[in-house]
Amino acid sequence: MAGKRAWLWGGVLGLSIAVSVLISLRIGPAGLETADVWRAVWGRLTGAGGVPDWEVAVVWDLRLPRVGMALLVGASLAVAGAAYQGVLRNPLADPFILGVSSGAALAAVAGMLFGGRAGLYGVWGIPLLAFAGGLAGLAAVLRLGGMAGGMRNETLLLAGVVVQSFLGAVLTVLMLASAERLPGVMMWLMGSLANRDPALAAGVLPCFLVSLALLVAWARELNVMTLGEDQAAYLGVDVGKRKWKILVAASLAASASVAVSGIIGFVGLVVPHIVRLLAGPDHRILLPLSALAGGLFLLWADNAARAAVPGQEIPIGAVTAFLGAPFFAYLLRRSGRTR
Amino acid sequence: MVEVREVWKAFGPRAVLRGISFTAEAGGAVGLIGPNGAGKTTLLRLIAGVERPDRGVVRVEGRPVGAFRRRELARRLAVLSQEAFTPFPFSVYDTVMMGRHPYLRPLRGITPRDREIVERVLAEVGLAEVASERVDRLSGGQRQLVALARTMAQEPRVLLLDEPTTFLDLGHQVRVLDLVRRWQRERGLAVVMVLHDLNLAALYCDRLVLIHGGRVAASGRAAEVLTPEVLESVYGTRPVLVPHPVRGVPQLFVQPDQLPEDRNETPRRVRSAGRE
Repeated sequence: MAGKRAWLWGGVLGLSIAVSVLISLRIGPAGLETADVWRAVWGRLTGAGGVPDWEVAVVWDLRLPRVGMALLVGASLAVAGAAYQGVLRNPLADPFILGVSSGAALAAVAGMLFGGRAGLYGVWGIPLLAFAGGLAGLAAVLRLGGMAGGMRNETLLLAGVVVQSFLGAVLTVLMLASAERLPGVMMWLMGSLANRDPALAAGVLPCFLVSLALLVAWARELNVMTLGEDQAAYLGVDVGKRKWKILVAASLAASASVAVSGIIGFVGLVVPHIVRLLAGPDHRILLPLSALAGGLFLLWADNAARAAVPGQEIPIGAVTAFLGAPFFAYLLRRSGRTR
Repeated sequence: MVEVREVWKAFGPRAVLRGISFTAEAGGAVGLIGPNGAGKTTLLRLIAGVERPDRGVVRVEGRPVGAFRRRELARRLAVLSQEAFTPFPFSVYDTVMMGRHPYLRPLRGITPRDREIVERVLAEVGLAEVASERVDRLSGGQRQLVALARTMAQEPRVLLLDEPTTFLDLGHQVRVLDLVRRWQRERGLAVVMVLHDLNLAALYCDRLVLIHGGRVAASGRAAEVLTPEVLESVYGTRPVLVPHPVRGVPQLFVQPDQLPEDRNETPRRVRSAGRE
């Protein structure tokens, strides 16, 4: 019963992604028509001639990587959000609120600014640094929030705000210390997929896949843990260990995505909620569908970031916040009422 | 079935349990009663294995609780507490199926036998019609029945209940406890329950253990434990006890303080169950 609905929504989301990718490939200043995009896609795939080289280059080297990255980052954030919400039993949890994004961003920025000297180049350097930073941010927020079984929404939010402010202050100092690279880092921080090195994605994809595979494997335990930690223990879950494993796995995907895209808030918050409404709360279904829906959501957020203001690009983090913050306010209001 | 032997537990400098012993046999119900903060819930958590005793031992089926893996223990012992449901919209069926978690094999998942058990338990509890509804849309009483069904789907041999009837209306209190008692008798379940309501405890437990200040103040059958003297020494108020008109077990009435205005109401003479 639930399985059928999962496949249905999986199909709908998959199809929407396919269509959205084609539409997204058209968006951009080069003025390519749908037919041109098709020709360019086919041109590279089949080696057919008659397609201008620059068209092929625009589609394959600029737009497709960007589309791919949007899908990957969106999927990572949404999966992480779904897992955090489940394991903490807190509908307001997401990588941004939990300090994972700020921690990862700080570590990644530090790596970018000083990495040259420390010899931390390479595909894995920045994502792994971000992972360490993300875990540190998460640990700080959970520690501050008390980590007590039914951590209250308000406590968690406050702890998140405190940790984010602190990390933000450190970031500001870091950035001022390297003023000549400020605009680039600034743009990155506010969340953007512009001018990303596609090689970075090569480091993020495995992180996402590992994280998703582990979390799906633990999905039944995640379901049981939504009953509360004691009850999960009574039902045979080794809560102490499993909880940390889930938090670490989710943080892997979230941090690695921050390494490519900077801080993009609210994706991990909004997407799992919507998927739960459509396909139910079972994590075996919720996690994969959140990946698809998160990718789709961020792809369109990126399209909006590229197309909303002609000739200029707004940070994608601003787009997701514009959509996500009111949704967050709605959730906060609702959770306040039921308590 | 459950054997609690000389158990001590302190949180920091505060000793909560100071040498508690009792046993619960298969097919019998032991009620843990006592004032707020007496350590009843801590004791239950020790039996459930989520806390460790500082001294002493808790055995389930003759084996120390700490020696079980959580999954093994979960196939023998289930716990029903006050509010244990998810903030997410799981269905009644899926929530009860979570009771099968300790039996699930990673690759096989849910078997026909698991479904059979869940459906049988749902029918016994009277929730078969609402099986596909969302738990968060049910009333508090129905939700507690869902939680009870989930513990029964665990097919435990020991059932622990932590104030299972708090927040429930009269009808649901009786339904929950009646179901527990039926299972206890039919399947030889050993039941240990923490109850605040002494009248319900007298009606539904075969033996009572009265805990006060981390020690056993009295234990035995209801008529032995629920006496005005014992209760006054523990609760600091002297109640009146009369036999239940049908069941005969002692039932208790509190006595408000006598104020000057009350003087024109002539006190009625009551035959007390506790002292003749």
